[in-house]
Amino acid sequence: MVKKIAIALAIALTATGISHAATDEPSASRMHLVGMRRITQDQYRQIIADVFGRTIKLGGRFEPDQRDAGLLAVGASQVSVTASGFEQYDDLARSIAAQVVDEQHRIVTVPCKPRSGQGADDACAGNFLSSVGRLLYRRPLTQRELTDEIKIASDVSDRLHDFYAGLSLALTGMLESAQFLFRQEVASGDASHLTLDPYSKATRLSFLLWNAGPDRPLLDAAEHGELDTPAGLDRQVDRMLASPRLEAGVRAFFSDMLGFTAFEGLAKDPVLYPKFSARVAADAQEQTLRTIVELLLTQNGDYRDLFTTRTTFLTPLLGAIYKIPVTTPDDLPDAWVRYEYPQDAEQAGIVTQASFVALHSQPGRSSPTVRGKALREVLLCQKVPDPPGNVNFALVQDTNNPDFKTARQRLTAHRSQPTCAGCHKIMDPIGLALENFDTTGAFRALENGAPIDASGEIDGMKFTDAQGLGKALHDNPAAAACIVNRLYAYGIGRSTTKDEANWVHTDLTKDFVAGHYGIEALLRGIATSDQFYSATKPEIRAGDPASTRLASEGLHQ
Amino acid sequence: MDNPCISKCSMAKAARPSVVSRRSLVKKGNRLALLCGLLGLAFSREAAASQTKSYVVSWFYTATYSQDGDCPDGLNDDIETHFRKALALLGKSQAEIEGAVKAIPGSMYFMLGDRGRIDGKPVSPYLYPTSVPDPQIKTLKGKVGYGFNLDGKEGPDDFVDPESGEHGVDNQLYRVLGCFVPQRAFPPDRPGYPTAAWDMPRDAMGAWLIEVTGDDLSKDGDVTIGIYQATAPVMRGTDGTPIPDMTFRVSGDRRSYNVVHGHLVNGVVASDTFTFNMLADIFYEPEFHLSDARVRLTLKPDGTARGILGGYEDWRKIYSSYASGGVFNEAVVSLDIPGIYYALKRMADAFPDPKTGENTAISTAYAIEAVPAFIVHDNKTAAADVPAQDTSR
Repeated sequence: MVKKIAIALAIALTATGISHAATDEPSASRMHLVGMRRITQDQYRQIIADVFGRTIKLGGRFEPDQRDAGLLAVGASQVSVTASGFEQYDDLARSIAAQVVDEQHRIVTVPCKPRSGQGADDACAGNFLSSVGRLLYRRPLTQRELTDEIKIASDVSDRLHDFYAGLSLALTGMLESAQFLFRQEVASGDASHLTLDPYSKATRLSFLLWNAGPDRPLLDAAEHGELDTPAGLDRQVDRMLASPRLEAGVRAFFSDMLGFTAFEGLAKDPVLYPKFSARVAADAQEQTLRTIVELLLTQNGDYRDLFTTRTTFLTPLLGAIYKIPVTTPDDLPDAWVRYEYPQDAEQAGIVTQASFVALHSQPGRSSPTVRGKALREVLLCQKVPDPPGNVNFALVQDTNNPDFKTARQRLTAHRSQPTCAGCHKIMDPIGLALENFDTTGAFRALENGAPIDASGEIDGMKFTDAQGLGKALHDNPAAAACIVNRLYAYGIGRSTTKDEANWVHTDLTKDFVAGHYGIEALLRGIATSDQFYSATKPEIRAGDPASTRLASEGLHQ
Repeated sequence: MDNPCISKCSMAKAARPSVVSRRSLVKKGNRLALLCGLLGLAFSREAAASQTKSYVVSWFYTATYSQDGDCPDGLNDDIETHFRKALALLGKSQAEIEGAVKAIPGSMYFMLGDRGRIDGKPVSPYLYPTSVPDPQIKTLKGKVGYGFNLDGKEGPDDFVDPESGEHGVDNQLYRVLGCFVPQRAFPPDRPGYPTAAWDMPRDAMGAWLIEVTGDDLSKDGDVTIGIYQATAPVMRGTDGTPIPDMTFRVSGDRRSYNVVHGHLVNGVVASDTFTFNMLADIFYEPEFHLSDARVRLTLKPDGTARGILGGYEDWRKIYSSYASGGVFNEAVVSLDIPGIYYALKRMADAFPDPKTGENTAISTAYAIEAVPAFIVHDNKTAAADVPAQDTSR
């Protein structure tokens, strides 16, 4: 229901964009709106930087993102813009537009000079609006859209005797339009075999690889039909994979998959854990992302080695958490330092990093259950049922109970309740492997003076500590299958259909294995596949107002 | 090009400890090897042969052991009483005094701040403390106080240290300050004013570091104690206190580099006599210089350390640190700055001026609290730069 309302609201916001696309162009009668995905905060920022430069400042707040099927990228297909959210987008748009045309920026951002600054200049306005509009809407503006925008600019310029005021207002309108705020995917073909149009292909590809809108070369390729040919598509994929911007794309995917947005609300008890601050939380995310980029992109390594790697990067603040000396230059106190854990170190792999163990803990204590659930759901794509509503957690939370000094002892007692035992069996044995790390990620050998037993078992593989857990995850086929599934779902913005799931679990996963579990090869496999650019018609339910609205917009033929 | 860190790694058993040290002895060899590897350095087996515990000072303040009855003449005046007396000394009428008191705090700032008189003209009593009469502040008479027997004698003004049991403890600074309310506390509480005076500048001044190195710190034996300043200040955690386990680089400034031999007995490190010198903060006390200094540290099982640094300090420097706070230290902190001047001068107990015979230094004791840290020595602190450790002034 939420999804459908979201789409309806998004369409109601503009009532023009897709309609234009669907009615202005020759093939409009065969076009289908098959998806709308609200761009994320990071994507918004990146697009503004790409189009207008990094000197444009973005303040304000964004609508909160929504996670679904383990990904914000999937949730983005199910969210709308609330009334208050629209106000925020409006504020942002006005601020950005004002900066873009101010005296400091206009010489770069507005390539043409108006005949007179005191009035309208349709040619110059059209030049600017069509150029930035193509990047903002991720497709050329339709003639009707462009005409409308030029008219807005012209009217305001004449009325206010200020060319740039008119330009600013037209740009504001574009920045708060659904065409910009939502990735609108349009497909053609019959219902049994829909294929994205070239611009939707370009958009899907660009957000997958760069977490940004298509650049001009990619839009050019779309315009010239190159993305519809294997060779043309390959050229663009090669170009984008070779670009330094790939790192941003990989970072965005793993930030999403690992649930890093939860750090925004993460806090630790300041009395018990005064080391843990917002800066530590930010560094913890960055540590893991740097570890990932180093292994998967710089070294072109095996994805599974993320669970066992001894190479990481630290700041002095993280060094304090892990009790590791981190020396930085005096003039760069927050610099990152590459670090290799010794063979006998307690830490290895990203699940022993603070970004995992601190994120999946309680404010005042660790939580083997929460960690075990996260290991299953985030890294193995296995669903763990939610606990029943009447569970008594008193024993688990009583970390000062002299009879149950360790989490293992408390959970063992808790599992004696039959209603709890089933789920805890699949979470606790792996979560307990990380008990040597407290709620901030610091290593500890004891809890309440009692030695911690970090042994466990996952899917038949036994281990004695966190290192062993890392090796077990490395060798677990579910981990590799999970990343393939997640990355594909991330790219298409929804859960896979049955047919897609078959393809993902067989062909794509097989290629991933054959490619030595390399992320670039996996991205290439997705980005060059037909499946990635196929589409399904949104389900229309009788009585669903959103579906009715979609139908009334004439978007489903 | 020589890498100075290599020699430091191998100098672990000499006066200087290893290139990096930390409190934990667990897997120390590995960690040292790691850091040396991190810095592209060689790691000497000798480094692993000694053990080092290292700390960053979290608190440093005048040591107090306030007890009932140690100020038999009462505590020093609260600010209003102090203000009234100061106005009376200036010849103000009772009505004028009442009017000024009603206008507290604003009235205090200008009436206290220029109450000194020289040739009948108002002057700052902080710059010219003798421009006001000696108010004869109340001083501490107790018999228990932290510190060391610095002069090797036992006298009527000496204390017994409550932790070490040492007799003949010289700590006249405690007697001067001990009856001001903001200077009073019983451990583990800290006195308010000295704690705040340390707390405020430490975000800007290089952190103070302590290293204790010995062959086996789990046993009694000889140790080397290093007290240095870091290139960077401490960082605070969410509770406002310095974050433990941070890494600090030792400053190359020889004015903040102290190395002294000591002994470890029952987990307590006690130094030989040395000259302590350390830069602090220009708004606090720019530079500490303690002659005939000694330091005692309890190395606690939780990784922290707590102890006492004592020695003789130029009383005029101490006065300056109080006077630099000016009227704030009187109007807000409730101290009597000229009164402290007179008391410091009167109770100074060492290093008489050859000409006047007046003592120029006063015995002191400061409490030290420290949390574990990593300490890195780099090429800025070459051994040759270490000043000779004179034990006499």
